[in-house]
Amino acid sequence: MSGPKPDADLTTSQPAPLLSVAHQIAERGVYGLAWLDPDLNVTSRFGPITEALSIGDPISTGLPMLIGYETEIKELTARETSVFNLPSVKLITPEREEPRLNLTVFPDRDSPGYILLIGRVLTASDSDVELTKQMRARLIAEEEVARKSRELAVANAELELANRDLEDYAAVISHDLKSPLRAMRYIADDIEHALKTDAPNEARKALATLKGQSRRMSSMLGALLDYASVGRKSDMVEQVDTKALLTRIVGTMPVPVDFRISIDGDWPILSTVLAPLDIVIRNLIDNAIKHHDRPSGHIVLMGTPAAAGQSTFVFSVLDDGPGISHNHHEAVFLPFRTLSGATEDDASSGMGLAFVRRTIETVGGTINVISDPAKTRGTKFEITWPCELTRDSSGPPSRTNHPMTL
Amino acid sequence: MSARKVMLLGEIGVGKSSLVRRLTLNQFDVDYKPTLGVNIYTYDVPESVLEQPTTLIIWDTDGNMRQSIFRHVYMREASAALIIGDATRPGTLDVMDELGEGFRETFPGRKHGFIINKSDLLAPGEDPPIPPALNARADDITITSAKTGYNVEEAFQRLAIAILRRDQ
Repeated sequence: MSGPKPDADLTTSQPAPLLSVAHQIAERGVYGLAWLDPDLNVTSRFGPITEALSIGDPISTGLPMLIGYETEIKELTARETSVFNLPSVKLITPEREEPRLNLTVFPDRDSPGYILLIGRVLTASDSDVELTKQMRARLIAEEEVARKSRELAVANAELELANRDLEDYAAVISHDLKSPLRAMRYIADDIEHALKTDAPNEARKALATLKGQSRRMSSMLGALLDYASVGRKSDMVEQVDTKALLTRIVGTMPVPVDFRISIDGDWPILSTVLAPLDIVIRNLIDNAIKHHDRPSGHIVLMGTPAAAGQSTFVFSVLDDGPGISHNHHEAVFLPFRTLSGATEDDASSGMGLAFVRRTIETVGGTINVISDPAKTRGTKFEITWPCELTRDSSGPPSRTNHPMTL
Repeated sequence: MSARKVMLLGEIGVGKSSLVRRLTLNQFDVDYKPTLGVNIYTYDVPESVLEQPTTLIIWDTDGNMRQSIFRHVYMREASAALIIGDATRPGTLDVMDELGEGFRETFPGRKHGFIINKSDLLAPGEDPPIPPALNARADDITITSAKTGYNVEEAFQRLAIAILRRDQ
């Protein structure tokens, strides 16, 4: 083949049977040929499939899918293997929908320019198209099933958390709240006895004790209600400067004069929920002060931001108090479990660390206690906190596709 | 008339073909028809939008190609891309960000926009669950409905303006 050629002039110097077959195939629109000059203008064409090409026009006018490939085509060398292929392309315009084509361009070895072979892609059978459609529809359906499964897993995790809370409540109601009630009944007996024996001082003393137990019970109930509300309050995700937050907390908390609080390490700006983080830090500091066994102490807030690629910020609250023995590491996080033993006038509700753990778990974080009083004083609470919370991020409870709740 | 090649990328079934068919043919077919290979459409940007006569050569690709599309001959000399997801399929929105990253790596500096399609399937007032990484590019995200035509022209026209601005 050499170009430029007159339209459909393939009859010279070719074996007659081959030309006949070539004509028959071209006439059926299976393939076509176009000859291009070095500037990629059409100089000749062959076969009905090339009818969109006008002699003299740039090839990209009739085949706009070749726009952008001109440089690549012009760089083809005259080597036999040097070809440009653009497979399975179909032009659709308001006026017409062309057949799907394979376009191949190669240099014309006989004269400057190129030859474009346009091959019609054999149309996929209706059953093939239907099969592909069914397969893709199935893929989409499987994706939906997987998404639902993830949602179900999250819902199950939330349910598990709720069940655990329910068990905690049951334990609290059946045991812990009975304690002040029982004490109040005994005190009432004491008052009755004091009145019968004409001992007003004893009665007054018992009444004071009764009030103390009443306050303690009220404090416990209030804390229990607050605890129950964690996970139900909406909270906005915002940019939180954790260093500034700590400074504010330390500046406003009632800290005994001989206690010192240091802020150490690196504290990043997080996209998170402010109030829960505030609650966690305050309660941990409060816990460290309340359960310290000496009149003076040192509490350190240590920040360790996530390394590149990690999704959690780790921070610790360390104190130099008496420490917590191993067998109490889990118990300290249970509601109303105070290791020091509550007294009538104890302001602690025993809910602080229960609050803390529940709040952290609600945002998808964790808390660990590290302490071994047999070896050394002090306790370290290590917290992992998600670096980024959004209303729609996925993950553990409260980092799900549901609105962020706390 | 200058021409710019725009790629439509996105997971299968997100509505790439529906969007371009709504744009160029003002058609919408409720029946899903997979694109096997690539279909090419042309769209003349109205002079009211761009003074310079501009045609977008829009390449509607097979969603099954995923990241391999970036190594394909189809992608060569692309001026820009629109990356599309389905508002009702969160997985497709995650893929949008991956495709965006692939495009930025393959064609540094070239324009790309994000389309979250099928807004007509969301409940009134419901927002699509945009992944955080994608949300960070909120300026480039357009919510559309190929079914109703909502924001379809706007999405393509915004991209055309951005392409021309970059080329000037």
